[in-house]
Amino acid sequence: MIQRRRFLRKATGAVAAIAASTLIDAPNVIAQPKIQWRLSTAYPASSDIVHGAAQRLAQIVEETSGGRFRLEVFPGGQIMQSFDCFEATSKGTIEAFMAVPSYWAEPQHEPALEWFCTIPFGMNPEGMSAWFQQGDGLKLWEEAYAAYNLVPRPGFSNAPQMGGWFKKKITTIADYKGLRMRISGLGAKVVTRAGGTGVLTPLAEIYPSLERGVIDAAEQIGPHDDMKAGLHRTARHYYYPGWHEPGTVQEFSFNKKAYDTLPVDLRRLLDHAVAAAGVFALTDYHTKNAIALQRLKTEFKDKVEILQFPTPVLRDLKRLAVDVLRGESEKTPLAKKVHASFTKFQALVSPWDHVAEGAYHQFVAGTP
Amino acid sequence: MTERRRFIVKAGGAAATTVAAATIINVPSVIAQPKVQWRMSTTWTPALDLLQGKAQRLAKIVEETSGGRFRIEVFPGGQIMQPFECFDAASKGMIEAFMGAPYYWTAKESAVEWFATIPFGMNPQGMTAWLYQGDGLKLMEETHGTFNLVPRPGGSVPPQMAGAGGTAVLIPGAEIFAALERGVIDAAEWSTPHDDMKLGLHKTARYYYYPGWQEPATINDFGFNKNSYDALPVDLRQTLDHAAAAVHVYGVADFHTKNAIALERLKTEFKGKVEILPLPSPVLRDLKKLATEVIKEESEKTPMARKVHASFTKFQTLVGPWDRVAEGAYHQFVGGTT
Repeated sequence: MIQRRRFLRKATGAVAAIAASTLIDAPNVIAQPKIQWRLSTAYPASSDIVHGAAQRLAQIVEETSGGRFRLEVFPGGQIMQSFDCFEATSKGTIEAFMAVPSYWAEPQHEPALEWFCTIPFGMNPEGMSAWFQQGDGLKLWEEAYAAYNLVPRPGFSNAPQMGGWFKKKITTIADYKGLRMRISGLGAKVVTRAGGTGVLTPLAEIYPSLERGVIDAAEQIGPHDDMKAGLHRTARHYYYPGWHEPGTVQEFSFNKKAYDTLPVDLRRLLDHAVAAAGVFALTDYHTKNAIALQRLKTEFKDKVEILQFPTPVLRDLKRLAVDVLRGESEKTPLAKKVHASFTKFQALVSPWDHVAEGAYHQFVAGTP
Repeated sequence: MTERRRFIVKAGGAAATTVAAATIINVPSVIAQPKVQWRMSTTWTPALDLLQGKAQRLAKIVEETSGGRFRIEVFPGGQIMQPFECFDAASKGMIEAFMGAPYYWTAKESAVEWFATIPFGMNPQGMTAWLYQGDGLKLMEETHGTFNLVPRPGGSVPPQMAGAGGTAVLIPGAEIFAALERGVIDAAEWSTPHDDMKLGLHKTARYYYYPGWQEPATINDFGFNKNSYDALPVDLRQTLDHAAAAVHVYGVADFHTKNAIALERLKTEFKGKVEILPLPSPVLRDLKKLATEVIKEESEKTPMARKVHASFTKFQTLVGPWDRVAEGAYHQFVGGTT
């Protein structure tokens, strides 16, 4: 039923017109300098949704520029280590990278970057996108990245995510006492504040760590990626919602000098291509996770329990998260400013979201 | 706090220093390539700035990314033709493009309802996933194709409001349904707070209901004359396709923000005059039962409607449970809290 990349295949399938248009394009191709960029992602090629989004971006840029502008995409580990792509782009060794901005927050760089990715109990994907496009979000992010000679663009959200895999059930906040959990972003600090230990186990080590009992719980992303990593074979209880990553934003960021020297049409083309690639990536995430969840509920019915965090636990976690966020926001002037902008925007869009999407979800979602 | 179109304005502003150089570089391209100029007529009045704005945004993206080689002149409904004439005009090639909402063309083919939205159907995330990852767009191309048109989804309007009424006494589900059914509803239910306030609906009725069960995610359609589309150089054809996808992203952010602002105004400025109320669950349940019957009847009207209905229903069954787990549970807890 699902036809991936149908849209693009169809476009290239229109062979009849290609010959003619190639001729029409020929003067353009010859007269214009070709631009070739290198983009390194922070992900392995097996992370098909996120790494696939970078490849999709390259494809859109090449197609719409008639081949004048090409991005060569490398997975993490091929031309550099995953987490070296920020520095390499900043220095101009490569022109572009893809990652999540929280990778570059404390202790590496600037705590304010957490807010451009996602924060515990923050905005969902629609809210994040609205904050960037209509609020101050992107302006502040550009301000933060100017110090690193980078131009950021919000790609898409691979969110909302799941709450994670737990060996034991969570019934009260006290169950977090002594719990060792792999969890990313500021969520780790919330878990620690709840009496557990939040650790950032590298992706490749999550499965063995859970398996061997080095950790008691782990969150990665959602059913699709989690099952690829085999997490459903290590812990029985799969919790939702992913309160710690409600809107995770993927970034495409560019070396500022490389970006500024692009001809103006290619610069715009790149900006709009990021938006267009986002539609495919977001729907890819939505569909693949729906399929994976269905598999969990059927094939792995007896091995996995899909459970909702009890409301009192979420309420306690939220209280702790508010403290963590306040503490983080006071670390730098920029973090304070970004936190204030984010909070104000969330207060604006939440009531609308609650009325528009929330009430509909409450009644109809989940029913066929 | 909100800076409209900041993204685009900024891009333009930042470009100032390099424009001179870029223009020179682009000159051969401009001279060597034939310029393409299209006309697009929409079904919207200029007052519907979010919807008309999406058509204008498409034109802007196409012009910017093609370096001026491809221009689309956008007209609101009523300027060069009546709003609902644009479909036929594009179909016949009098103009190259139109923008509307698929359900405006129901009289031609019942199947188009599903490409717009159906009562108790999928939300924007689900609709977009069906269109881009499922069979949705393929079926839409098949349907519009019989009218010599190439369709592209033009983004979605968020779950709408259920409508405004003069009385708080809830009329039976069947009557609400009849009253709100499209074609009769313009006075009662239009869209979302931003548009509704522009049309002045908040001055006519006191009770404003949600959720908008009748339109959980209304997809707009761009339609292109097939001959014009096929005759585009391949890079411009792809520019047009990807521009429509980009419009989706910007449009969702635009609707999300403007409606949040409008709702806030209703809750403050018009506090004593407007009450914002949820439809009671039993009413929604009754409406859903009726909706299921209506949709079934519609789906039996043409072979295409039957096929589209089957695809839609299957996809909704697939994504519904994931949506409930991912978004639904989070909404339930955090929605409405700051």
